[in-house]
This record gives sequence, structure tokens and C-alpha cells, in this order.
Amino acid sequence: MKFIFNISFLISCFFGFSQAESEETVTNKRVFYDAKVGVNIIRGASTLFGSDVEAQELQAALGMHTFDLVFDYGTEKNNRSGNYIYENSGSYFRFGMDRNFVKDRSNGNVLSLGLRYARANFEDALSYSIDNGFGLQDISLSNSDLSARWMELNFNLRGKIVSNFYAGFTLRWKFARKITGEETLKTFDVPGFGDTKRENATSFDYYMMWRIPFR
Amino acid sequence: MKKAILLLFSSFLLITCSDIDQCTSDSGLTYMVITFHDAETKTSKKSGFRIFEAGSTTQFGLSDDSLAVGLPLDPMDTSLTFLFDTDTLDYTLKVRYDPEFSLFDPGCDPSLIFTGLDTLNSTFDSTAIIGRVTDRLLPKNIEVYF
Repeated sequence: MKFIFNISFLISCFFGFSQAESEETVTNKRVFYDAKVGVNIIRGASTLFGSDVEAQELQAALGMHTFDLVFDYGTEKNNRSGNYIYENSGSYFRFGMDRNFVKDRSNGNVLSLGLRYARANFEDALSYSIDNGFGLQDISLSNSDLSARWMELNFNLRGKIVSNFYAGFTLRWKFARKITGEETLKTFDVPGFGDTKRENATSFDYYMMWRIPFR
Repeated sequence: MKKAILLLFSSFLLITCSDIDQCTSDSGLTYMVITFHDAETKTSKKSGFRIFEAGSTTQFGLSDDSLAVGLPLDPMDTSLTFLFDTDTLDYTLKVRYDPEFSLFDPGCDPSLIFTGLDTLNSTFDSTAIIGRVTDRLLPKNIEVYF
């Protein structure tokens, strides 16, 4: 109930903001201004530079008068090891809307706040040897059909670099996470969300994007 | 607007950087804690048991005139029978549980706890489940009365 109230409150603030502005603006506006497609270079760089995480993420955004429709799709593979081996791999997507506060939409710049619904499908496995008083036991556990969903509050900034080439970052605050499909092994990583040490998570993503303006 | 963005960045960094854990702050326990009580007075009772798993000669615990004992549980199984042995008395206690593995932090060994702890049968006069999860924050899991 508390979760539904929080989401309702956020949505009402979000749309209330836009309504106030739209009343002030001229009514004769185009519906769609541009489309942007891009790649998350922070996630891509982690793969290129030999991190334990292999990740890729693409983003597509459709710019409207005051809102942007945004869709992300990514894959992620984590290999963690110490006295154990933990592997986690899967894919995720996010979709939602951003309220763009840039007044001149024709330049393609973005300064926005947005909400996302996100979902991940993944699997994980743990190999570990433990002596808990019963001799050394080799533990091999896996979850083959895990899914998770969460919500995000995003702050986005995109600026024109050259021609139709844009770049910028997104700050994400991720909350209301729910994981299903766990058995004896409790999952540590959720693709797209991060680790599960905290109920909520934050992340910083940097995007390179190509803009297709609509005439 | 610049101040608002700076404030947002600062808050974001503060939240992100607070995410530091130590292995010792993991409160999970790999064993259950049993306390001994007098069946008539219900008060704590010092007892000296030799404790074995049924069918095994490996001694798990020796409650050497103590009020409580910590007993490990088998992570490859979901039930276990313990034999509590003295020179004059023998008791058995069969418990069920669900092992649960997780990574508390990637720098630590995997964490093992047991949840859903319950007694299946016992030859003690009575037993009481106090905490169904093996966790340092719980002082005990099972009380046995005899």
C-alpha cells in the first residue's frame, strides 16, 4: 500500500508539473520532435577494459513536446570469485517517461526528470566449499529462472556535441525492488539494478546518442 | 538551476559512497543456539551434555555445565537429529530447517544461515522455538525443558 501511495505521489507531482507548463505554452506544437538512439559507454567500457562485469546497454528515446518516451535494453554478466565462484547473467529493460525542462525542443538538448519501470530476467550460480562441522562439503547451487522488477527516478542531462551527435549522463535512484524465483541461493546481482546489499541502489550512466530530428 | 544540479550530484555521491561493508557486520550464524531449562521451574539450567548427530560418532558440542550450546546444521540437508548424552540421561532432538546461501559482500566468504527452524520430534519434556532464523541478533533459537 505504501509503495502504491509513493508511486501515485511521484506520478501526480510529475504530471502536475507538466500541466502547469503546458497551460502557459502555445497550443500549436508538434507531437514528436526527434528520436535518439544511443549506447551506454560506461557499461560498454567495463566490458572492454577487462572488468569482472560484462555489460552492454542501448537506449532509444522519442522526444515529444514536454515529455520523452525512453526505452533501455541491456545485458549483463557478472563473475565474482574469492574462495567461491559466483556467476550471474541475464538481460533487462526499462521504459518510462521523462519530463524535459528545456524550453527550446528544436535543439535536441535534454534536462529532465523521469520515472522508469524496469524488469530483468536472469540466472545465477554459486560454487563453494564449506566445513560447517560435517567435513568439507562442495556446495553447488543455482537459480535458473530469476526475475526482478523495480522502479527508477532518473535525472538526465544530454547536450549536443557536434551535428546530430549528443552525449550526457543519467543519475538513477532505483527503488521498490522485488526478486522472484530464488531458492536456497539468494541472488547478489540483478542485471540493470546492481547488487542487492541495499533495498535501493544508485547508478551513474553516460550515454553517446545519435539524434534523428523530425521536420 | 546550477545549484539544484550541484545539490543533486552531492546527494547522489553521498548515497553511493555510504555503501561500505565489513565481513564482520554480517549477522548471520551457521549454527543454532539451544538453551537448557528446568521443566518444573522453567528457569535456566546448567547442563553437561555430549552431543552427537544420530548415526555419527563425531561430537558436535559439549555443553560443559553451561546454560546453552551452539550446534551446527548440515547445509546439504534439511533435517538433523541430535543425541544429547550424559552418563545417566539420553535425549534426542530432531530439527528441520532451510539452508540459505548468499553473498553478504563480494570480499567476504558466502554467508550461510538457516531459516524456518522447527522441531520435528524430541524426547525432552518440551521444547519451544524462540527464533526460526540463525542470526546473531537473536539470543537463542530453541529452548529445551527437562
